[in-house]
Amino acid sequence: MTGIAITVEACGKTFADGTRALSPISFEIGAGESIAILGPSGCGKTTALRIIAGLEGPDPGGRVLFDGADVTPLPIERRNVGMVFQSYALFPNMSVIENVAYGLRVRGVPRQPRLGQAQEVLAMMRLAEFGGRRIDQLSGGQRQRVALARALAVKPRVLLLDEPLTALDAALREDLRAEIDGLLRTLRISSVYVTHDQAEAMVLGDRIIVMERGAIAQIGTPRDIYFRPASRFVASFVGTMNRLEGAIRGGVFETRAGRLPVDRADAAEAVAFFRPEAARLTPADGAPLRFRVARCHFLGAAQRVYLDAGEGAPALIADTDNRRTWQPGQETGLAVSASDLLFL
Amino acid sequence: MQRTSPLIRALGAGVTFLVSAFMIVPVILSLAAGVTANYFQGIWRSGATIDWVAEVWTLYAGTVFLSLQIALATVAATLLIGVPAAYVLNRHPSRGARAVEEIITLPLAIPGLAIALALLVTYGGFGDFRKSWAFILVGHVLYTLPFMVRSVMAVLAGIDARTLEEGAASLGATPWQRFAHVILPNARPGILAGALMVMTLSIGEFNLTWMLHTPLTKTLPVGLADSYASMRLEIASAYTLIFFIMIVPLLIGLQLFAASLDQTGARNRTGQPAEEIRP
Amino acid sequence: MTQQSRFAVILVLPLAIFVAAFFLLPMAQLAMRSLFSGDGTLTYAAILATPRYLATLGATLGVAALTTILTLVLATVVALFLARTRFPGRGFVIALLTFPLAFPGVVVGFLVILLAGRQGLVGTVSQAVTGEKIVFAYSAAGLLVGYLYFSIPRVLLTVMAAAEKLDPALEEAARSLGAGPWRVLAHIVLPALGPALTASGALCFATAMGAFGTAFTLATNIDVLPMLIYTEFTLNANVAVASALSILLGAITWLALTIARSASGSGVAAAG
Repeated sequence: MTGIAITVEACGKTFADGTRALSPISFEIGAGESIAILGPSGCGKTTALRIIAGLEGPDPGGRVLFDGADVTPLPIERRNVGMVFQSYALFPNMSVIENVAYGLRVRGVPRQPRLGQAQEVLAMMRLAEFGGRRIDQLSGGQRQRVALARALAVKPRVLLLDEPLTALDAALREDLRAEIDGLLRTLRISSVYVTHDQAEAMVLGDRIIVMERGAIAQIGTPRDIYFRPASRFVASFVGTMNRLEGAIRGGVFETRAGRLPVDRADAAEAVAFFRPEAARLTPADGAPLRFRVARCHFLGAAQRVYLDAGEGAPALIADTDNRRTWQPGQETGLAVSASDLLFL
Repeated sequence: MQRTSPLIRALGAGVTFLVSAFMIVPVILSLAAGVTANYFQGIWRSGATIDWVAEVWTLYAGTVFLSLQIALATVAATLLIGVPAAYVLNRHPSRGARAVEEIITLPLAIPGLAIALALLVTYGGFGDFRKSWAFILVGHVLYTLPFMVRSVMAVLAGIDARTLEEGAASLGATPWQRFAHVILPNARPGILAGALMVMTLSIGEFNLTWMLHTPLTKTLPVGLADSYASMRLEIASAYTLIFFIMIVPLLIGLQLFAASLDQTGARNRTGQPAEEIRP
Repeated sequence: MTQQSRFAVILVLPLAIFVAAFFLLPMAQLAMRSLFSGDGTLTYAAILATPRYLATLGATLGVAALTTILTLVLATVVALFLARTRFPGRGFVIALLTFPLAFPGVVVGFLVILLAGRQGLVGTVSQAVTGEKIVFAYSAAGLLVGYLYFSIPRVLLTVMAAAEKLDPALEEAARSLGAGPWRVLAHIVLPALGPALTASGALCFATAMGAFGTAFTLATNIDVLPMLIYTEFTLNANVAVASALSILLGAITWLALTIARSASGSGVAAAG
């Protein structure tokens, strides 16, 4: 199974009732590449996936190309894609193996060979002994893996996953995330993975498409997205971001809590963003920025210190080592290197 | 947990007992009368007999068979017409679909007499059709169709048929394959419940049938009305007994069906507007 | 997408053809035929000017209304008792109370004859006790009893379903605030059952209005609308009046059922 390149060209979606689910978006997926589409609910990510799948048609003018061939008019059943649904969509009237073999059945593969192939895929998903079970006899994680097996059994050109782990509990989600990652790497199949969970997107996406309100906010590798967010939305949606307001005068960022040297032009109003792990707590004396500790959460491996940023401003967060203890009200210094400060 | 005062509870128990007696005593009277040699003397003095049942059979066996024939044909027709339509109405929810559902439910809101009259003024002149049992069949299908459609629609809504079908489509299944392999098998509880309901209603239908029948197309309830008007009480009762024998297994089947659907939790009810059956 | 909609059209086509040919067209025909009588007069005006028709309409509305009230009272008492009391055989009692739901009206009429007819149970017992034979099957009372017989099960089902969904905490809260049992009933339970009572009451009314089989079997001395339609059509061959009365009756029952549905939409049949 080698993947194909997918091109999405100016695909927008306006529903019959007039609501605009998707502004025209364009992007490309390389052969064998894993793309994660990340965004809050209602951002249009599932609609984008359904357009690639062929479950929805784009508004006029939009096109979907598979390896350069226009597949826009083709319904899903003629696109040879594999799809994993959020609710799995396993057929309750069929056993596990019948579910997995169903795609081969409608392709006219005779019974014996198709059951054989389905059994192989089940074995690959470590479900070899579950073939005869009814769907309602499976746990959530097993259903998830059957859904994956069923989508893979038809040797699809692209694997489409619509929030496949959302229905599972946290621990299981992490296991399956690793499993899907391994699968995508071994099969080298093109894939599109829709999720609202940034950890899933980071682990599973070679590149991530961040979406906001029906439009693409940023496309990039997980590192791009995390370290160089293109907008405030991306910055705050992916990971935790601190926000510090002030003004820049003569290469100095002046805030209520103190002054930091920056290499930027003057601005009467500027907002700096930085990650909690980029914040270093220092002794208060002589520190460029000074705060009072609001509270401290001991998390075991690390601790998260909340700093009082003044009335009306959200507390700043600093992730520090787990050794020192912090008391509310205690004064502390805060250092952030200029390269970790983002002005958006 | 003490939720009600003893007085209210005693009152409730008393009324429940009286109402239950009201519902069941006439049925028992009817059953007993059907096997009593002479009802005026009573079953103890005159003894039990199946002569009346036998006599009913010689007089009215034809109505039993015609009723069964029409009931089966009605089930077949509502399956053919109703199940595909229920699927479309479920899958394409729109104002139009609502309107169609509304229209096919109207025959429940309009008295059977009015519908029968409408059929008569429109098709009464088509002699062969008017005289055949198909004329009655049309009335029965019209009346039972909403029960089948709603029963199937309720089950389809409960199993999220849309996503299942998208799943099948993603695996390459054509619309027909999706309908045959995924929708129909998974709608089976609704189809079976609907079929049982349609069968029960068709066997007991009188209001339409009385207007639509001819002397040569008498169904069981038509025959019953006939016997109530012109036969001695014992024969009428024996005939009613035969009707109960036909209808009660269907009713028990319906109740068991509802209970098993409850238990599996697949669907807390089959969407049967049971209360809308008209007598 | 177009293939999809073509498939959908093929699947609804049989239903569309059937309903158009055997329901919409006949109902339109019925409406047309109902407009003018044979002598060219407006049928509806003639009906309103005929005291016999109006009396029948009034009697039918009266019987239906009385049936509805009595049924609601009895069914509510029974439903509340069955919803909150567990006893051996409860399931059997419920089955027993709901089976008659599917009895045709003719059979119900016959059951009334067995109960209160010339050889009926009531007559036999009353003769033994008082020496006087009470027979009321063929009077308005008999009709009422028959209507009660087929109304109680359907109302009972709806009200019982609503009563079982009642949150016991509401009653407990009212009692914790000092309300006695009757107050709890009046202030908490009955208002909570309101939508179910309205819905099933309207349904009951519509059913009683249109019931034909029972009246036909009892051949009562009071005329109800369905019997009138039947006699106008078969005995007097007065198609226009029969059609107009049918449409009138249909409009009344349809209105009642619309009320039932909007009431149940606001709470009873949330599962629907």
